[in-house]
Amino acid sequence: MWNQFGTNAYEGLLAETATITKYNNELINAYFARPLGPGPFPGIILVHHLPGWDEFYRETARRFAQHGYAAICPNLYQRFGDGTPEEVAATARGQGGVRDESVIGDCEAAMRYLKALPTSNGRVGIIGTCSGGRHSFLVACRVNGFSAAVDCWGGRVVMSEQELTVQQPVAPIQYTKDLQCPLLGIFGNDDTNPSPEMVERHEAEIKKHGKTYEFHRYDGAGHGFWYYDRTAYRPQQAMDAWQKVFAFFSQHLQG
Amino acid sequence: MASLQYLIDSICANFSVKALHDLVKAQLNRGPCLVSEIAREIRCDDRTLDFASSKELAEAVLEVLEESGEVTREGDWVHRAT
Repeated sequence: MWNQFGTNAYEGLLAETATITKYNNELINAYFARPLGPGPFPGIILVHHLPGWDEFYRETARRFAQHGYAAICPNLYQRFGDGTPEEVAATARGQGGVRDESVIGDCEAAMRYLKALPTSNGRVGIIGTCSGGRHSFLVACRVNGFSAAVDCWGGRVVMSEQELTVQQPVAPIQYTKDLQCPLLGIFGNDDTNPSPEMVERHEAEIKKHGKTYEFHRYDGAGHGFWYYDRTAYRPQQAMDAWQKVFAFFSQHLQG
Repeated sequence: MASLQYLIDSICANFSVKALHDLVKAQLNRGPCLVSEIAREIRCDDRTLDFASSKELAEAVLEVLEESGEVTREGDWVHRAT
């Protein structure tokens, strides 16, 4: 994955904000990055995390585009207004966060958008970190049509009754039987949400239903170990996990 | 310690446990303060947090520091332990 391009090979990409129509005909913003050229290219939906539709996700979308994917990150916080990513995230939190059904609708719309592109190869994957990891798993269970899903340290996949809310009325683990595509899980063993015990329970449920999956757990890494803008960043573990993600997407979206 | 780390991870706050401890101690170096002032400092450092989340973090870190004997509380006022 890293440094695999030929120094004499052409490479180009386009990255810009876009507007997509979601299930109730509302318009939401998205950040869309794609390789230049006719393709065909597989698609990836990026589901952003609690800190918002932010710089990390724009850079990550461009990273996927550089590696041959049409990557789109819908603004799940659109309905909370505009401002800097931090301001909008704080507003979203103050209003109880985004509803699961809203995220599912936005991601389904993003999947349709990618598949409708003339450059599409017909396959779309989904990936998220933190709450985005939880949502990635949830969407892959609730929406047909995905070819691969990646859950990066998604907490609250396993939820107690007391943790259920109006925005999150059902624990995603309850939908495991409906998962329709292979799943990759990336977790830090120092994370407390999800803790290693929660990850084991998640894995047990996946095995119980005979789903195709692979989980990778990293020592010396906690919650958010990909975030190079935070002290949680663990470069060795992050680079290894990135290799796993690219291999996984290559197998299921390009093969 | 586990509950504070759990809270940090659950809300994806941009803090380590040590960073929160240091934030409180730095605040108290300037004198006694209100819990709300600590929450405000937390929110200044991580602007993705709303006030409720910041206050929740403030309460959680103060609980840890109280248990370790480093701070004392009188209602909403927080003091360095003598």
